[in-house]
Amino acid sequence: MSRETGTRRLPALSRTLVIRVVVFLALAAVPLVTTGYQTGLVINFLILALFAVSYDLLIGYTGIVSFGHALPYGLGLYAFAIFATDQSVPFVSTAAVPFEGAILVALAIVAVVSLVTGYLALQATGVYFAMITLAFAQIGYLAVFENSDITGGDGGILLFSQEVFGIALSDGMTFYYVTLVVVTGCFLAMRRLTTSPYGQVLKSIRENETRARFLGYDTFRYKLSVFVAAGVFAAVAGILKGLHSNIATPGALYWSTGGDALLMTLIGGMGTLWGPVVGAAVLFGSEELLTTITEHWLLLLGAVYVVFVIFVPSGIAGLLSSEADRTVGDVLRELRP
Amino acid sequence: MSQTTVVLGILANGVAIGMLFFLVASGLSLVFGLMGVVNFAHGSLYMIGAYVGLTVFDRSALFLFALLTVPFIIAGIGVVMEYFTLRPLYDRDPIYQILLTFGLALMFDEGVRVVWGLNSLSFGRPEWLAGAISLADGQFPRYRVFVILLGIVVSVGLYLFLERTRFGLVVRAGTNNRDMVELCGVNVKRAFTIVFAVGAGMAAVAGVAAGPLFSVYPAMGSEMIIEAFAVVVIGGLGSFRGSLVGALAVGLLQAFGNYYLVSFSSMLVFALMIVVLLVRPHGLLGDPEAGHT
Repeated sequence: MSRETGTRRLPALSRTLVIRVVVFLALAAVPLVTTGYQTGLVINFLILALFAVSYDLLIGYTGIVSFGHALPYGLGLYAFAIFATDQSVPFVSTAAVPFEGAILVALAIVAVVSLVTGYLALQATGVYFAMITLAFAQIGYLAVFENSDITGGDGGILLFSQEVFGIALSDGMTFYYVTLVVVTGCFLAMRRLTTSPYGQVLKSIRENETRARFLGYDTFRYKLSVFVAAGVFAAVAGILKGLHSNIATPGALYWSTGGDALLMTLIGGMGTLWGPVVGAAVLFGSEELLTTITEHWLLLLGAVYVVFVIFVPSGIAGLLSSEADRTVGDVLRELRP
Repeated sequence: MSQTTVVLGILANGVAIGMLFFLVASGLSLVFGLMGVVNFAHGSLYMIGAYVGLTVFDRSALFLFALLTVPFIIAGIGVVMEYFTLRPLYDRDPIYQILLTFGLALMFDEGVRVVWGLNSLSFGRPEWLAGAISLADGQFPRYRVFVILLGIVVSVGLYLFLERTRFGLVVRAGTNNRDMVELCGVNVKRAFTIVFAVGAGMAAVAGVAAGPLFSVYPAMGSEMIIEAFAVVVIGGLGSFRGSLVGALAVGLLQAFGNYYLVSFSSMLVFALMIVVLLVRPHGLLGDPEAGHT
């Protein structure tokens, strides 16, 4: 696309700017032209996209493959739900914590937990790092599942959002714009992060960590900090999900939630940030579309994945542009240290 | 009941569960060791083995018949899966194989719901395996003793297969250095298919054997795969002995945890996994020099 000739072509910068503005305006117009139900679907898509993009920070930019991205997502959701509702938590008077406070506490908890689990998991590399993150996520899932006096167990925690920072979230359109602003803000923050000098160091770790270390970068600190950042962004997605669906269920912490992030990022294209958004659209779109065809849509979804993996390995971003600079060989090296 | 009786009972229980873990995890580990494939669908093969075993057992009323035939059916499914989906991906990044097997697991899990429904199905215990055996201080359920013996027979068989046959030599050499074996003129791709089939068959043995213990339900595959990963990682990826040690450790930990630390028991396994990985990054018996690990 960028190789086109011709004088009437817009300069690259303004062209991408046009695309961004058009996409944003289209998203902003959604609740004006759709039904409440459809707006709800787009909210779910935006949340899923934020979750997938946060995963891209790890796999796409830093080249570390976590199998446990369900942990910050689900932990954010549960920490928020536990503090925001009238659950009986030992030592903490939950009824006194307002929604705003619960959100901040949840984000802080996720940051601390990501720091500790990341510190431990990053002692290992490749498949072993992936397995440790999987184990942490599974511990989180089981902790929620088995401590039903705090977490409600299988039934989960019901959340009824009234007002957050003075905004009434019970109104569908209001909630949509809050979600759009939060997700867009997070996306831009991650974009800024990845294009900054810090992001360049992350990419250099992805390309060759040994060289990055020789250049004098403390790569462990970079990996740990991006692990925490990705965790916090995933937690934002988890909290939004809780506010939107009014419930926290253990499924958010199950390993397949993290698997979804992996699938979306791979289908969309790694290392692009917008690729995972496309991946989320594919996952969500195929889910909605296939459900109308058969109740056993997972069967078809599995088939779609399999076909995708075999025939479209570079993801949709790889098909659309050369921007997806993450290749097959790159990840190969990371999984086989 | 005396304390010894209780401990012996838990011990037998833990070893029986450990044997099931071993049957699943050793296939997972073999496939990873030789092909570098992390097979997320391995738990689904275990689950399909249990479901097909249930159907065969219901129709024939012969438990041993089910135990002997179903593994071959599942091995056949494994061959088809390997040949048509994994084989085109060997030259690609392992992450795509993970994604692929993840998609296959989704399909298998949903396929089972289509054929057998959502509910948990009970798998009757054959009459000749009902009751208990008295030994020393303890009463051991006959079926658990049978599972332990079955695990011993299959693991000895696998050991002899790997250590005493020419094909086993190829597998072990391929695990160590696949390129070198290929350069020696061995058809490694055929070895992949056979190893995949063996792994699938063993998962099916575990599935059929697990049926009478836990009944049969759609989530059993995704539960098993996570625990099998833990076993394989604790023992050492690609190591046969490691799988056995890891499986027994996890089985015993679960059995004792279930008795003494009820609300933490399932978390203990993953805590052990993290500790082992941090202290010995290649697992208890893993080889840091091996090709993929």
